[in-house]
Amino acid sequence: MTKDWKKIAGGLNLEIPESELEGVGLALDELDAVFHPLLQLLSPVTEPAFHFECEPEEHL
Amino acid sequence: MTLQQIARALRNREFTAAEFAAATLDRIKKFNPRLCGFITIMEEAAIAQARQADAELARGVDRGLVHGVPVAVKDLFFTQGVPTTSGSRIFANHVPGHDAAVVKRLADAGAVLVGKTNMHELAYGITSSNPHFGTVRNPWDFERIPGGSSGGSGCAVAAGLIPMAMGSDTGGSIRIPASFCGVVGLKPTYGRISRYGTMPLSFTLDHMGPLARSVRDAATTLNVLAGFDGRDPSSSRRPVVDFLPGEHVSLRGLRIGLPENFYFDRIHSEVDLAVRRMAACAESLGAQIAPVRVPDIRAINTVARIILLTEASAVMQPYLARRSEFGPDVLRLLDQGCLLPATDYVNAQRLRRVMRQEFEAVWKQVDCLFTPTTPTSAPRIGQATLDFNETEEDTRIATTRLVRAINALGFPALSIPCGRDALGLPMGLQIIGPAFQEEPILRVGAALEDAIGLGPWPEFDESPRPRIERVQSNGSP
Repeated sequence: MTKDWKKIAGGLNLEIPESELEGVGLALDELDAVFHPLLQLLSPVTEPAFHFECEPEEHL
Repeated sequence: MTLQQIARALRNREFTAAEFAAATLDRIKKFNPRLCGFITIMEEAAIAQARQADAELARGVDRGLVHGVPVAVKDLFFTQGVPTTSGSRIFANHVPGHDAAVVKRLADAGAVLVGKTNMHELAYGITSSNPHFGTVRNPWDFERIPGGSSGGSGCAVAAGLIPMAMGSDTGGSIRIPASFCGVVGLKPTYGRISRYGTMPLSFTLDHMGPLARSVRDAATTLNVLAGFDGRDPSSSRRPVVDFLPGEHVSLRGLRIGLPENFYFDRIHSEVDLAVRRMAACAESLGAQIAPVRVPDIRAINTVARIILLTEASAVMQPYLARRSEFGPDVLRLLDQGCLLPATDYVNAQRLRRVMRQEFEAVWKQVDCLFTPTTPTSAPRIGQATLDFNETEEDTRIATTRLVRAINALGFPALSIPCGRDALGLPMGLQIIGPAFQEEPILRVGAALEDAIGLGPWPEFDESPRPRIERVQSNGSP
């Protein structure tokens, strides 16, 4: 089932003109179709690849 | 000239660094109006740096191979007191108060920074047709794109304006212009070169690296730039080795994988042939060539795209109300990123870890992979789709298809020229290695370069005549 990107944009109060939304939605639908089946590869304990270290940082 | 040739000439006193910098600046000023490879030319500072290099070399102070050599950096590397636009109208007046780590390390090594190169807006695209700072031209054919997003760097190196220019690579942005412009491009391992002081596009996918005229020039640059930097949270503490390949490189015993799946699907036949010719060349130099199956690259590409879309939109969110100040292609991508849910982003980062683990099986079979860098040579400016056996594919998606996954995996990858197609345009070979194994892939690249020779370089003169016309009028591709 494809998502209703127009409603999502409205719900998030995004200022994306309606004329743009169709193209944006099509691109995201294509991405979604490949991405969502991949979620089956994940175990609950799989950590994300970004990391945070609780060390003092030299620069923020 | 290559960086190494310039270094040798400086030490042989064939010319001074100041003389060479002046000649470099003259050439940039002469050709940049047509090539549009530079956004900022730093004439006064460059001449001052070159004079200092001359004075030091005369006193016997030699800071290494880049000492006194002109270089450039993509206009997303912060330069203290000099505008750093990231190719964007939003940041057109951004003047940083400090240098990027890369800029500082180059300066400490005595390099002469002559300017900031043009790029795709915000590094978010592959054409470098920049709506704010001009369309970068491919020196091989002025009607074609140089690739991107580091298009100005690729253009400037290929045109012989500069021996080395720094780029950044989030989804192929060093390797694509290297392939389209016929130069060497190195994306090191994630964490190998500090990202400190660069305008981010995607924090966990951005890599910094050189575009150069030879593999050894890229290795020389990596020697200057590699190493831990506590100001970059992703910077690696791995020890740095000498990356510069020796003079007589052997490939004996090296196992090179040619992927059986994905990488040779939907590519132009001339690119296929050129990459396989390079594999045969490597075999003749002692390497073993083996077919290998790689994990699902289409899936990794998808994961990489979700990470990029969401991180880029997060970075740019404070500016998104200023819609008219973005180019339409960049705005479309920023809009896409705003619509993706946070769960997709977190799960993409989790999948990335799984896929990285899966890929380890490949490195148990081979030491590196040979693939095409791009499925075609450089497309025309404004060309929206590419044709593969009568099926059309979006130019951006097709051009990033063979390079993007490696950003998510973090592996080092080198693009080197591997011949020219019937139009006379360069094609690129991508050599991918395991994490932190830049030295072996540079060694392979240097061996191939020694075997096939450097260049050729694009020939262009005062007239902006596209190279394609000259090749066709000769009747020989």
